[in-house]
Amino acid sequence: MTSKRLVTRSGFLSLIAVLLLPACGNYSNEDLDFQLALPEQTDMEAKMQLSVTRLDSAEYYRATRTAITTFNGMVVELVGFIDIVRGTTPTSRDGDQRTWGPFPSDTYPGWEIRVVMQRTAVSPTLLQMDYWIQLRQVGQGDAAWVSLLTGRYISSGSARKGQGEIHLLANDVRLAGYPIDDDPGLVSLDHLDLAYDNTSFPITVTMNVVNLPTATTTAGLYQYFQNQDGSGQMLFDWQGVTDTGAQVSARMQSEWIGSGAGRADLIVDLTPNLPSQSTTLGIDCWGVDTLATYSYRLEGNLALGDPASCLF
Amino acid sequence: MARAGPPVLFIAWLLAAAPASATVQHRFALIAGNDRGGSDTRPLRYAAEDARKMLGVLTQLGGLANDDVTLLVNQNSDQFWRALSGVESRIAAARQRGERTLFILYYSGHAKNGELRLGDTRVPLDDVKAHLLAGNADIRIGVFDSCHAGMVNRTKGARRAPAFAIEATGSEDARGLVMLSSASADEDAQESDEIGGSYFSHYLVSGLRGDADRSRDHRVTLSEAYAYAYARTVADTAESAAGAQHPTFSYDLKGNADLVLTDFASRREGIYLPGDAPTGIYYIVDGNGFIAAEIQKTAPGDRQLALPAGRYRVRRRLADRLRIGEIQIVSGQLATLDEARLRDAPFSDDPVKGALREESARLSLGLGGGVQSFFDGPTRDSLFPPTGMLAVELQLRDFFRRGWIWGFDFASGSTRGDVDRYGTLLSFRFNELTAGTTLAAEWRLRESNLSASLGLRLAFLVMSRKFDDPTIPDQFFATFTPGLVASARYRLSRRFALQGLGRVHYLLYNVDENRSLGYWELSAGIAYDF
Repeated sequence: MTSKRLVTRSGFLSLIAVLLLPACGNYSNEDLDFQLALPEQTDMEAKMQLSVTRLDSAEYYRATRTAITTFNGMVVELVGFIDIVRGTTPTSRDGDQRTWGPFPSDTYPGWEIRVVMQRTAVSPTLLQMDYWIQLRQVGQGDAAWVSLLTGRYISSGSARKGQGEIHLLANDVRLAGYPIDDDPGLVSLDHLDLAYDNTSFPITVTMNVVNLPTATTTAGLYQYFQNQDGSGQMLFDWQGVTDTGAQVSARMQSEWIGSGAGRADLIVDLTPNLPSQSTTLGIDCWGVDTLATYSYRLEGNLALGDPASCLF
Repeated sequence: MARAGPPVLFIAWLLAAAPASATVQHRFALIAGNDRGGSDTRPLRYAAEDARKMLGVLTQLGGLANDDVTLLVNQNSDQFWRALSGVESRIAAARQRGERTLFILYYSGHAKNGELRLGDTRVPLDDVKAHLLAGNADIRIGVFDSCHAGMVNRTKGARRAPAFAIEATGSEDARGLVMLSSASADEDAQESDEIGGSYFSHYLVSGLRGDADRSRDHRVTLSEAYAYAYARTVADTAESAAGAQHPTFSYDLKGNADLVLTDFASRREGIYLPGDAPTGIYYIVDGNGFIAAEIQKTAPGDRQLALPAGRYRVRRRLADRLRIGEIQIVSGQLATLDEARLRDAPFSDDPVKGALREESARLSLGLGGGVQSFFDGPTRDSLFPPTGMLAVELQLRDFFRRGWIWGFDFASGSTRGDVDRYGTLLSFRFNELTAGTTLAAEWRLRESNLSASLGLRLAFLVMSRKFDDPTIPDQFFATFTPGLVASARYRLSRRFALQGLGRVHYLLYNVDENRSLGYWELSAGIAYDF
């Protein structure tokens, strides 16, 4: 009987102990709203059927691919910030708000980071989500939070379909003292604005990069359109300053069909040596082998191939 | 002093002088056992088992056909009277056919204030006796193994036996009534966990299997069986806390014949103990750790015990050690128990486990399936979908106290579900693991093999879901949930039982917000008692 009493007593204490343990987990329908509102790389990245680049590929095809790579690289950078949130359980939940962190920065121990998302149910089928990725120095108060990234997403008929915008505010955190320039990809960036709309085809993504005035390229504007059949467009405008301080403005307009065959035009809007009106410096058309089927260059008035081979 | 106990030697001499002879009779029996005796009695453990044992020995060795035996286990008084009436009708029919008849009424259970207790119902002993007195069978034998059963032998209609002077004169036209009781009118009948039954019934059965055969004619007569059961019951209960238990015997016979109850001359299946085997008591232990029968060898001469085929363990106790071994009885054969089969063993190796049962729990292992579902509709539809579960449960019965169950269960289930978030339908695979412990009190429902229990349960749940959309992270929730359990158990046999249960649990869901949720579980399965 003594052993039974001991068992009974210890069992009772164990029971009390386990009842005091809190439930744990991330099992939540509400959290799904926040996760669905976050854009994914595939929502925003430019897609082209052809991905190979050969030494003898058409020059403007290679330029288009470079623009796509750069564009997608920036998308990856942005999504990388957001992905901190996607795979992590919120630290706190407060009604329509979720907060992750503050977490100490792995790279800069004096800094900490947090992510805040705010949900607004516009209607039973329309969801608005605002989010902020913020930084502050350890030990400072709430007023010290400075936003590195802000975003907004408004669904349209489906939580996964809608319009969104993301703003990467590099100079704001730079001015707050955060060593953002340690990232070579952000050293010249003032801010980046991205807007996307995947409600229906064509899917559009617009990325406006504004660099610091001291940068060679002061601004760049990417506009990407994706159609349901795989065809697409990439418009890339950039502005810069020459060594002599002259303003330069140029753009490349690329367009392709589902197979990847397409055309790109390089147009200069403003250079010191040309009148201010738009001037086409060159045209390349290419096939599915990425080789030029037609090529035109203003300089030397060179034209190779058959212009009728151009799809656009 | 000579009348204080049965003069066994005298009876043996008497029987040896005039061997009993079996009479061709059509035998009938009503065998009743009931563990429950109403709210003012403590449940018995082995009354129903006693009845089953009696049924076994009578059908195997007692010349009773299965169709002529009615077994009532945990039945009420109405069923008892109906069964008795049915047997009496069949006896009457047999008599009309000119057959000689013998009727055995056996009862093991509670008795109090002149009444047999069949659960919450009562059967007046006088009424039973009246039926036996007026019965139409040539010979009626009443065997009552219950507390104060001796009062059956002091009511009118039967003469108290003068020192077991039933003479085996061989008359075959005997008519009348014989009644045996396990205890005198003011004594309690006692059970033993070691033998897994009441003392009296155990020794009566053991004697009928051959150990009471003093005449060595491979038949056990009523007087042999009673003398044996008397001696062993008194001897074994003499040192018990309740004191010695004295079976009683009365008869009202015309023709004065001794009655052969079992005949194993033609049934060569059992254990044979050679004449040169050492003296002592050989305990034959069945596979459940209970003593199935005994051989009391006090003098030279071989002995035979009729037992069903199977493997048994044998124990003989010496002053400082045990002699133990195993013996296999092959169907239709006698297995010789040689001393060489036994080996020395310490007392700790006693194969009889029943003695330990008083203080230790019994284990029961159950397997089953069921379903779990939350009461709240939205929760059920999109958060925790109804799930089929497979479960295994280990129960420690009678651990804290008799009638209490301490169980540990584990269950696992899986299903598919969907959740709609602002027009986006997300499909997922839902998985659940639970581990629970239950403390329940069990009540056996009257007059049946059915028992019900009610208890408290604490479960640990781990629920998770994996979305078909790989971009959505897996989710899980783990928590403790307290609940209530109600179950019903139907005993199919000594080992197996069907079990159904329902649970209602409280769950505090605290991920999005604090919400009090409830869920239910229903399951059914089969349990095996070790």
